[in-house]
Amino acid sequence: MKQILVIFLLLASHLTLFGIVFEHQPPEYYDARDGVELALVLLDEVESVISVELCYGRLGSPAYTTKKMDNVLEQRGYHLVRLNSAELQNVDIQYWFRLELLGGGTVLFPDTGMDQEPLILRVVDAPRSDEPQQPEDADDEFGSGLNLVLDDFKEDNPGLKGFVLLSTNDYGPQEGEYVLAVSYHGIANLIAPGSIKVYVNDRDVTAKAIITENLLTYRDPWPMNELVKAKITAKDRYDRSLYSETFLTNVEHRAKKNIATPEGKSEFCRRFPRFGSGLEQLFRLGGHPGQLQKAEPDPARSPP
Amino acid sequence: MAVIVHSKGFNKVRRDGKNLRAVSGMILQDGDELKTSGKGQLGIKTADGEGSLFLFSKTKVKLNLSPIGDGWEKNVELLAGSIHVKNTHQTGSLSLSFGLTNIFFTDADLLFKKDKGSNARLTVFSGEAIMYDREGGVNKITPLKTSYILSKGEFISRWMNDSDLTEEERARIEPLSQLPQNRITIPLTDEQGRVLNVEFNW
Repeated sequence: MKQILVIFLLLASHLTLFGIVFEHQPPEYYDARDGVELALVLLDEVESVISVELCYGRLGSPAYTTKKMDNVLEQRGYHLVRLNSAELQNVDIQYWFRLELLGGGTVLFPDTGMDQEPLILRVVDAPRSDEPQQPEDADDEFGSGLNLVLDDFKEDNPGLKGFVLLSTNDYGPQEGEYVLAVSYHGIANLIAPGSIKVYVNDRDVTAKAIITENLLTYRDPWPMNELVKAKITAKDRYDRSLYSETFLTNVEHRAKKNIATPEGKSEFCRRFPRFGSGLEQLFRLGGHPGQLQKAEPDPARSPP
Repeated sequence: MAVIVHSKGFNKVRRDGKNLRAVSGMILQDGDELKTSGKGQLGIKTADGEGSLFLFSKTKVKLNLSPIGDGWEKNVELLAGSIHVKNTHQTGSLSLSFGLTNIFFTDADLLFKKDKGSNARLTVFSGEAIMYDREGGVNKITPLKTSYILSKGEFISRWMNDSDLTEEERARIEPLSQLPQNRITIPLTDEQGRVLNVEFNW
């Protein structure tokens, strides 16, 4: 059934006009970053066509521009033209072909003079097949450090610059709790509503994050790691993936303040002198908590 | 819209007549009043990522944040204490208010504090700030200058010095006072006759 449909479509694209047989397969869309190539192939009466021009303009506008098509295979009448992003201007365009004939005549296809509608080429509304898709489950991606590095260097992702980390360490390392604050003010109009996902240390924490129209925050009062990594993903209105760089944040654990100093004293000892002497002995002995009871008792503190 | 990215001590946000505890990650709204405690500090960043605000202890400010075009109109009204403000972008503007005086800047780093009485003091570390009083008077504050805003709407400016900063402020800001004010380099020779340039700073 599919083969029959393909054959039917191919036959439909072979058009006959004034004895000239040509073929054009209109692309469905174009990507502004890549531009687009349009081809017109003359299948018969190749020698009767002197040149082919592409006429194009903004969809719905009477103004148009022409661009000569290159006859890349002269004997076979393969005419090609490339429109770059500056010419396309990232808008939907309408176009038609103008064929200059040997006898001085002109043929338009589609013939706009005969009230035929010009062909329409829309700016991309579907993901490119060669574009790597962001996995739905970012856990797999987080498992590969190489992927993270490669992702961070993709320049065509507006999320890399659009997601801005606000909770930087310029006020010093975060103490005890982990706070993630990310702004996307600059790309907020690109993001599809409800598509933002927040990943912290490989876990999807979107449900616990506060997500507003231009910034999001997430707070973990008891982070497990001292180095916390976070990543934001979203979809744009064309269902393409946007994702941030990987944000790394240092979190200083509350317990870290109680670690003994090189002098053998600890902040804990200073704040709680009642327990401090025993701990100081422990640190002098270089033992571990299990040896605390084996330390020599302090005669000054021993009961009478 | 802004967010608290750093909170130390017990600080409060007054919103719609209610007191809320200010914690890191809290999203701030237009009209919020922030107050730091005696040992409190707050770090705030605006949603556009361009402005940062640091409230030192015993400080009270009111935020006025409203979207305008593609950006935000950001205004911070100083009611008490001192704030360190940075705006890092050339296009977004941030304004400070004190009484009837408004201060505008786009790309600047400055300290704004309320002095005793109804006076205020503005110190510009980088960039420049423009002050407007209610009479329409304009005063441009250039880098490394401190300007006193007097209650009568008058301005007095001078070069900044270390006395402009408290210990708490100096711990965070560390402005050009890191550079020695006085410096002299004297060439001396060692026992082997090698010339060594010795720099004295004080």
